[in-house]
Amino acid sequence: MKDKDVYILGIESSCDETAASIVKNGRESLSNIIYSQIEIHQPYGGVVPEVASRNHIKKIDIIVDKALEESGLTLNDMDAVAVTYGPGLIGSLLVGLSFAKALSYSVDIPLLGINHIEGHICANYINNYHVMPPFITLVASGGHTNIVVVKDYGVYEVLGQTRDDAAGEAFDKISRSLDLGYPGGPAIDKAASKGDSSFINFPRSYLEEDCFDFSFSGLKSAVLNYLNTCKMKEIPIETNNIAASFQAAVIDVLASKVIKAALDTQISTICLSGGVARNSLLRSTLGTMTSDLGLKLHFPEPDLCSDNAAMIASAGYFKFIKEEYSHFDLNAIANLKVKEPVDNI
Amino acid sequence: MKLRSNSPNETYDLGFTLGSYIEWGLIVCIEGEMGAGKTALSQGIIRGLGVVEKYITSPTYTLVNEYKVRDLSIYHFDVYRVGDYDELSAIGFEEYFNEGSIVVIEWADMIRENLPDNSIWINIERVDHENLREISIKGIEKLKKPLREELRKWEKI
Repeated sequence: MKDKDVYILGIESSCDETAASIVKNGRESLSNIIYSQIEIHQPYGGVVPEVASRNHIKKIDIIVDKALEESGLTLNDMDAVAVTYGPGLIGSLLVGLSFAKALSYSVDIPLLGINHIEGHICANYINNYHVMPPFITLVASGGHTNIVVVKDYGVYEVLGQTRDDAAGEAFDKISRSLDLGYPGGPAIDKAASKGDSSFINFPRSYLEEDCFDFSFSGLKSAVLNYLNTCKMKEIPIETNNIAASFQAAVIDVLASKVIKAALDTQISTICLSGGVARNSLLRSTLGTMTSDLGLKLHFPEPDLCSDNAAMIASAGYFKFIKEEYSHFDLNAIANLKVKEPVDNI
Repeated sequence: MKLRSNSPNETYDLGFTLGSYIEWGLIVCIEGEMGAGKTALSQGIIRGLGVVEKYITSPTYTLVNEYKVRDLSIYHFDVYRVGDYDELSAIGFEEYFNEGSIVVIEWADMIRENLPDNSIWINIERVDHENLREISIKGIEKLKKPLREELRKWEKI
């Protein structure tokens, strides 16, 4: 395999983004096109699923062409097409998956079905030749909050996940209740940078001892209760301070659990992924904690944290070299789990 | 029927009782503001129906989460992000309603006019104390007598 370069076309359409990318040998991103639909969604205060999938249909062809053009390659140079088949919004997933199947069939290259969360994890490999398993990763985004042990390429053990709201979802909901807009992550981060995180001591939910699961609904209720009380007592809402206090409560729990995971498993590298990996407090908190403990911390470039197709192409590469191809009857699975195997040929 | 819950745990327990007794084919519509306890109630209902899967999480992002008990399906929706029935209809929303399924819908009030008659409506309202909730159930006549008796446990004192 090593004597020839491998080019994978990655396609991602599981939620907001229609994205396509060409990645060489799993790590070198030659193009990474993201057609962000955020502007369209903003009036609704969240992602609107069918608006999303209809727009995917309009954009996917253009995005794939652009990804090829920017890489300087053609469809015939591609060794395989990798595509997200779950988890995500079923209508949105089907657009990308059907498009990828058609390409795979017409150009006669293998189809590689990729789990979106596995994609987020692989974002750490892109434009970086040093990150390699084993490592601990925190995947935190609008729909997911998982702590995963990456034992080897494509070999995962999920240590814990959220029991109610995902971390990014909590950011979105609190941002909405503070009138900070959508997406909530960057909005809260920005407001928090101007606020005092010790303003209110919101509850941190660590759950049972030795547990790597998360729960953010109690924190969400605590913030909403506080806002309610302010309204009833006509206390002015100190948005920046509340945002900072809320953010600190989320980040404390995320950081302490991921550190504990590294110490318990005696794995010395921590990688972040998912949109929440862009959060400045998470990065700085973990930066300090890891350097104090002699651990290594890595996070992908900002564009590679949120949904993108380069991460899907990278995950595809590691399946391609093991010849773990998918059948054409591969279906989109809205609630796909990390360990659910892809149907191999 | 007006009920009362003092905590998210009690809301969950109320849901569990509902789930243990309700009959397949029913649509459970839940309304209440953010943080009222819609997901806690839904989690209780889904567990009460016998779902053993480890995680029953918020469907806000996924729109719908699906669970199985034997060959019966439970669909847990959060329609907040859609809000418009035509959008839901386009993804085959009505196909989820059948005799072998239970559909639980959070933010159902956003699509109130479009939901079928065999629905019960549960409104969770925040009152006085921060964890106190008033839970009213409409369509109670669709529930069997033993369940109605059980629910009296949560009646306002």
